[in-house]
Amino acid sequence: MTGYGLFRLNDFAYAVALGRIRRIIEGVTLYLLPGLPRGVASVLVHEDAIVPVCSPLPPAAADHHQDGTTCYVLVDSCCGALALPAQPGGRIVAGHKGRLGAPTDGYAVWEIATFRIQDHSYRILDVDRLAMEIIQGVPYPLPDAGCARRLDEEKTAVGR
Amino acid sequence: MPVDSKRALTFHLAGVAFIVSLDEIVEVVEDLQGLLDFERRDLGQGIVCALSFRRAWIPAIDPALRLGLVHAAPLPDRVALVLHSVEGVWALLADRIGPLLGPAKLTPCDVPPLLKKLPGLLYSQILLAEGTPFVVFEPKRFYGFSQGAA
Repeated sequence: MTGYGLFRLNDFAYAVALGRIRRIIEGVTLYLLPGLPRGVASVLVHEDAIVPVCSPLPPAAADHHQDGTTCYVLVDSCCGALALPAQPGGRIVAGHKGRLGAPTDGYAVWEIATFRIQDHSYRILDVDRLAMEIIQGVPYPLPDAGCARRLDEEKTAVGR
Repeated sequence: MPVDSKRALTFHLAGVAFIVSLDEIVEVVEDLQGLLDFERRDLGQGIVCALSFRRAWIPAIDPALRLGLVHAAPLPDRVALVLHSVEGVWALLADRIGPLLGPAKLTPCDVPPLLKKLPGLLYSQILLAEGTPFVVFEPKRFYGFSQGAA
Protein backbone atom coordinates (compact mmCIF):
# COMPACT_ATOMS: atom_id res chain seq x y z
CA MET A 1 0.00 0.00 0.00
CA THR A 2 1.32 3.43 -0.90
CA GLY A 3 0.97 5.88 1.90
CA TYR A 4 2.22 9.21 3.07
CA GLY A 5 3.06 10.84 6.33
CA LEU A 6 1.51 14.31 6.38
CA PHE A 7 3.14 17.00 8.45
CA ARG A 8 3.12 20.74 9.01
CA LEU A 9 5.80 23.26 9.76
CA ASN A 10 3.98 26.55 10.32
CA ASP A 11 2.42 27.33 6.93
CA PHE A 12 4.40 24.67 5.13
CA ALA A 13 2.54 21.37 4.71
CA TYR A 14 4.58 18.45 3.49
CA ALA A 15 4.26 14.75 2.82
CA VAL A 16 6.84 11.98 2.95
CA ALA A 17 6.42 8.53 1.43
CA LEU A 18 5.58 6.12 4.22
CA GLY A 19 8.41 3.76 3.28
CA ARG A 20 10.94 6.44 4.09
CA ILE A 21 9.68 7.27 7.55
CA ARG A 22 11.58 5.55 10.32
CA ARG A 23 9.81 7.11 13.27
CA ILE A 24 8.61 10.35 14.79
CA ILE A 25 10.31 11.54 17.93
CA GLU A 26 9.64 14.30 20.44
CA GLY A 27 11.51 15.92 23.30
CA VAL A 28 14.96 15.74 21.77
CA THR A 29 17.91 18.03 22.40
CA LEU A 30 19.51 19.73 19.42
CA TYR A 31 23.26 20.18 19.10
CA LEU A 32 25.57 22.23 16.93
CA LEU A 33 28.41 20.71 14.97
CA PRO A 34 31.04 22.57 12.97
CA GLY A 35 30.66 22.70 9.25
CA LEU A 36 26.92 22.20 9.03
CA PRO A 37 25.81 23.10 5.52
CA ARG A 38 22.99 25.44 4.62
CA GLY A 39 19.74 23.64 5.25
CA VAL A 40 21.07 21.84 8.32
CA ALA A 41 20.71 23.95 11.43
CA SER A 42 21.63 21.36 14.01
CA VAL A 43 21.80 17.65 14.77
CA LEU A 44 20.04 15.39 17.21
CA VAL A 45 21.08 12.12 18.79
CA HIS A 46 18.84 9.12 18.31
CA GLU A 47 19.81 5.61 19.43
CA ASP A 48 23.48 6.60 19.69
CA ALA A 49 23.55 7.95 16.15
CA ILE A 50 23.81 11.55 15.07
CA VAL A 51 21.06 12.68 12.73
CA PRO A 52 21.21 16.00 10.83
CA VAL A 53 18.11 18.15 11.22
CA CYS A 54 17.27 19.31 7.70
CA SER A 55 14.87 22.04 6.73
CA PRO A 56 12.31 20.87 4.17
CA LEU A 57 11.41 24.47 3.38
CA PRO A 58 12.38 26.15 0.12
CA PRO A 59 15.70 27.98 0.71
CA ALA A 60 14.16 31.48 0.69
CA ALA A 61 11.57 30.48 3.28
CA ALA A 62 14.07 28.57 5.40
CA ASP A 63 16.07 31.74 5.98
CA HIS A 64 13.08 33.38 7.64
CA HIS A 65 11.67 30.36 9.39
CA GLN A 66 10.69 30.86 13.03
CA ASP A 67 11.19 27.50 14.62
CA GLY A 68 8.28 26.29 16.72
CA THR A 69 9.15 22.70 16.19
CA THR A 70 8.44 20.14 18.87
CA CYS A 71 8.82 16.90 16.98
CA TYR A 72 11.01 15.44 14.28
CA VAL A 73 10.30 13.00 11.50
CA LEU A 74 13.21 10.62 11.04
CA VAL A 75 13.50 9.56 7.43
CA ASP A 76 15.88 7.33 5.48
CA SER A 77 17.65 9.03 2.60
CA CYS A 78 20.40 7.95 0.26
CA CYS A 79 22.75 9.93 2.56
CA GLY A 80 21.62 8.24 5.75
CA ALA A 81 19.00 9.25 8.29
CA LEU A 82 17.69 12.80 8.30
CA ALA A 83 15.38 14.52 10.76
CA LEU A 84 12.70 16.82 9.41
CA PRO A 85 11.17 19.28 11.85
CA ALA A 86 7.41 19.18 12.22
CA GLN A 87 4.68 20.31 14.51
CA PRO A 88 2.58 17.83 16.48
CA GLY A 89 -0.49 16.45 14.77
CA GLY A 90 1.07 14.71 11.80
CA ARG A 91 -0.83 11.77 10.37
CA ILE A 92 -0.48 8.81 8.06
CA VAL A 93 -2.85 8.36 5.14
CA ALA A 94 -3.19 5.81 2.36
CA GLY A 95 -2.23 7.12 -1.06
CA HIS A 96 -5.61 6.32 -2.60
CA LYS A 97 -7.36 8.65 -0.15
CA GLY A 98 -6.03 11.68 -2.00
CA ARG A 99 -4.76 12.60 -5.43
CA LEU A 100 -1.42 13.60 -6.82
CA GLY A 101 -0.73 16.81 -8.65
CA ALA A 102 2.13 18.91 -9.94
CA PRO A 103 4.21 20.86 -7.43
CA THR A 104 2.77 24.19 -6.37
CA ASP A 105 4.31 27.54 -7.23
CA GLY A 106 7.55 28.42 -5.55
CA TYR A 107 8.44 24.82 -4.93
CA ALA A 108 11.91 23.62 -4.01
CA VAL A 109 13.68 21.14 -6.25
CA TRP A 110 13.13 18.42 -3.68
CA GLU A 111 9.35 18.75 -3.97
CA ILE A 112 8.33 16.21 -6.58
CA ALA A 113 4.56 16.44 -6.43
CA THR A 114 1.59 17.60 -4.43
CA PHE A 115 -0.70 15.33 -2.48
CA ARG A 116 -4.21 16.74 -2.14
CA ILE A 117 -6.64 15.42 0.41
CA GLN A 118 -9.85 16.99 1.79
CA ASP A 119 -9.07 20.49 0.51
CA HIS A 120 -5.59 20.35 1.96
CA SER A 121 -2.47 20.29 -0.12
CA TYR A 122 0.83 18.74 0.97
CA ARG A 123 4.13 19.03 -0.86
CA ILE A 124 5.62 15.58 -1.39
CA LEU A 125 9.29 15.64 -0.49
CA ASP A 126 11.97 13.62 -2.19
CA VAL A 127 14.29 13.11 0.75
CA ASP A 128 17.11 11.82 -1.46
CA ARG A 129 17.06 14.97 -3.53
CA LEU A 130 16.87 17.07 -0.39
CA ALA A 131 20.00 15.37 0.94
CA MET A 132 21.86 15.72 -2.33
CA GLU A 133 20.94 19.38 -2.65
CA ILE A 134 22.23 19.98 0.84
CA ILE A 135 25.55 18.38 -0.02
CA GLN A 136 26.22 20.08 -3.33
CA GLY A 137 23.10 20.55 -5.39
CA VAL A 138 23.73 17.46 -7.48
CA PRO A 139 21.43 17.35 -10.50
CA TYR A 140 19.78 14.22 -11.79
CA PRO A 141 20.71 11.45 -12.30
CA LEU A 142 21.41 10.71 -8.69
CA PRO A 143 24.39 8.45 -8.05
CA ASP A 144 22.21 5.82 -6.43
CA ALA A 145 20.31 4.10 -9.23
CA GLY A 146 17.72 2.95 -6.74
CA CYS A 147 17.00 6.53 -5.78
CA ALA A 148 16.66 7.59 -9.40
CA ARG A 149 14.32 4.73 -10.18
CA ARG A 150 12.02 5.60 -7.30
CA LEU A 151 11.91 9.21 -8.41
CA ASP A 152 11.09 8.24 -11.98
CA GLU A 153 8.24 6.09 -10.74
CA GLU A 154 6.80 8.94 -8.72
CA LYS A 155 7.21 11.42 -11.58
CA THR A 156 5.43 9.05 -13.92
CA ALA A 157 2.64 8.71 -11.40
CA VAL A 158 2.00 12.44 -11.47
CA GLY A 159 2.46 12.79 -15.23
CA ARG A 160 5.69 14.85 -15.19
CA MET B 1 51.55 15.13 37.43
CA PRO B 2 51.58 12.15 35.07
CA VAL B 3 49.17 12.39 32.20
CA ASP B 4 46.58 9.64 31.96
CA SER B 5 46.41 9.00 28.24
CA LYS B 6 43.10 7.22 28.54
CA ARG B 7 41.29 10.36 29.59
CA ALA B 8 40.31 13.33 27.51
CA LEU B 9 39.46 16.94 28.23
CA THR B 10 36.26 18.52 26.97
CA PHE B 11 35.92 22.13 25.96
CA HIS B 12 33.32 24.34 24.35
CA LEU B 13 33.82 26.56 21.37
CA ALA B 14 31.02 28.70 19.97
CA GLY B 15 28.31 26.37 21.18
CA VAL B 16 30.01 23.18 20.03
CA ALA B 17 31.37 20.60 22.47
CA PHE B 18 34.82 19.24 21.65
CA ILE B 19 37.07 16.66 23.22
CA VAL B 20 40.83 16.36 22.99
CA SER B 21 43.15 13.68 24.30
CA LEU B 22 45.11 14.59 27.41
CA ASP B 23 48.20 13.38 25.53
CA GLU B 24 47.97 16.50 23.40
CA ILE B 25 47.75 18.95 26.28
CA VAL B 26 50.64 20.70 28.01
CA GLU B 27 48.63 22.96 30.26
CA VAL B 28 45.36 24.83 30.53
CA VAL B 29 45.53 28.59 31.10
CA GLU B 30 42.23 29.82 32.49
CA ASP B 31 42.97 33.51 33.06
CA LEU B 32 44.25 35.21 29.91
CA GLN B 33 44.13 38.78 31.22
CA GLY B 34 47.42 40.50 30.37
CA LEU B 35 48.81 37.45 28.61
CA LEU B 36 47.70 38.19 25.04
CA ASP B 37 49.50 40.28 22.44
CA PHE B 38 47.21 41.12 19.56
CA GLU B 39 50.00 42.71 17.54
CA ARG B 40 51.45 39.26 16.97
CA ARG B 41 48.84 37.76 14.76
CA ASP B 42 48.70 36.04 11.43
CA LEU B 43 45.07 35.56 10.51
CA GLY B 44 46.05 33.66 7.37
CA GLN B 45 47.37 30.94 9.66
CA GLY B 46 44.46 31.30 12.07
CA ILE B 47 46.74 32.93 14.65
CA VAL B 48 44.69 35.65 16.34
CA CYS B 49 47.28 36.70 18.90
CA ALA B 50 50.25 35.49 20.89
CA LEU B 51 50.03 34.06 24.39
CA SER B 52 52.69 34.61 26.98
CA PHE B 53 53.46 31.12 28.24
CA ARG B 54 56.42 30.20 30.43
CA ARG B 55 58.34 33.35 29.47
CA ALA B 56 57.85 32.87 25.74
CA TRP B 57 55.31 34.02 23.20
CA ILE B 58 53.43 31.17 21.57
CA PRO B 59 50.86 31.37 18.77
CA ALA B 60 47.23 31.36 19.86
CA ILE B 61 44.84 29.85 17.36
CA ASP B 62 41.13 30.44 17.22
CA PRO B 63 39.78 27.25 15.60
CA ALA B 64 36.40 28.92 15.18
CA LEU B 65 37.82 30.91 12.27
CA ARG B 66 38.43 27.80 10.20
CA LEU B 67 35.37 25.99 11.51
CA GLY B 68 33.03 28.81 10.56
CA LEU B 69 31.75 29.18 14.12
CA VAL B 70 30.84 32.34 16.00
CA HIS B 71 32.12 32.84 19.54
CA ALA B 72 30.02 34.03 22.44
CA ALA B 73 32.94 35.08 24.61
CA PRO B 74 35.32 37.95 23.78
CA LEU B 75 38.97 36.94 23.40
CA PRO B 76 40.25 37.93 26.86
CA ASP B 77 37.42 36.00 28.52
CA ARG B 78 38.36 32.74 26.91
CA VAL B 79 40.63 29.99 28.12
CA ALA B 80 43.69 28.59 26.42
CA LEU B 81 44.63 24.98 25.99
CA VAL B 82 48.36 24.78 25.37
CA LEU B 83 49.04 21.86 23.07
CA HIS B 84 52.05 19.98 21.76
CA SER B 85 53.04 20.02 18.12
CA VAL B 86 56.12 19.19 16.10
CA GLU B 87 56.65 22.93 15.67
CA GLY B 88 56.52 23.63 19.39
CA VAL B 89 53.71 24.39 21.75
CA TRP B 90 50.75 26.48 20.70
CA ALA B 91 47.53 27.65 22.31
CA LEU B 92 44.00 26.84 21.33
CA LEU B 93 41.46 29.43 22.45
CA ALA B 94 38.17 28.01 23.73
CA ASP B 95 35.13 29.56 25.38
CA ARG B 96 35.30 27.31 28.41
CA ILE B 97 36.67 24.04 29.69
CA GLY B 98 34.41 21.09 30.48
CA PRO B 99 34.98 18.00 32.56
CA LEU B 100 37.60 15.33 32.05
CA LEU B 101 36.04 12.17 30.67
CA GLY B 102 37.35 8.64 30.81
CA PRO B 103 36.83 5.94 28.19
CA ALA B 104 34.06 4.30 30.18
CA LYS B 105 31.84 7.31 29.56
CA LEU B 106 32.61 7.69 25.86
CA THR B 107 30.98 5.89 22.96
CA PRO B 108 32.29 6.26 19.39
CA CYS B 109 29.73 7.61 17.00
CA ASP B 110 29.91 7.89 13.23
CA VAL B 111 29.90 11.25 11.54
CA PRO B 112 26.56 11.31 9.67
CA PRO B 113 26.91 10.25 6.01
CA LEU B 114 25.42 13.55 4.93
CA LEU B 115 28.24 15.46 6.62
CA LYS B 116 30.97 13.02 5.57
CA LYS B 117 30.28 13.91 1.96
CA LEU B 118 30.91 17.60 2.55
CA PRO B 119 34.26 18.91 1.33
CA GLY B 120 36.65 20.36 3.90
CA LEU B 121 35.12 18.88 7.03
CA LEU B 122 37.72 19.44 9.76
CA TYR B 123 36.88 16.45 11.94
CA SER B 124 36.43 12.78 11.40
CA GLN B 125 35.28 11.41 14.71
CA ILE B 126 32.57 12.12 17.25
CA LEU B 127 32.21 10.64 20.71
CA LEU B 128 29.02 10.48 22.72
CA ALA B 129 29.02 11.01 26.46
CA GLU B 130 25.64 10.39 28.05
CA GLY B 131 23.96 11.22 24.76
CA THR B 132 25.86 14.44 24.15
CA PRO B 133 28.07 14.58 21.05
CA PHE B 134 31.67 15.73 21.41
CA VAL B 135 33.66 16.48 18.29
CA VAL B 136 37.13 14.94 18.54
CA PHE B 137 39.52 17.85 18.11
CA GLU B 138 42.41 17.01 15.80
CA PRO B 139 45.18 19.55 16.54
CA LYS B 140 47.17 18.79 13.39
CA ARG B 141 44.35 20.20 11.29
CA PHE B 142 44.74 23.60 12.96
CA TYR B 143 48.44 24.16 13.56
CA GLY B 144 51.47 22.91 11.73
CA PHE B 145 49.26 21.70 8.91
CA SER B 146 50.06 21.93 5.23
CA GLN B 147 47.35 23.37 3.02
CA GLY B 148 47.19 20.15 1.05
CA ALA B 149 46.65 18.01 4.11
CA ALA B 150 44.08 20.34 5.60
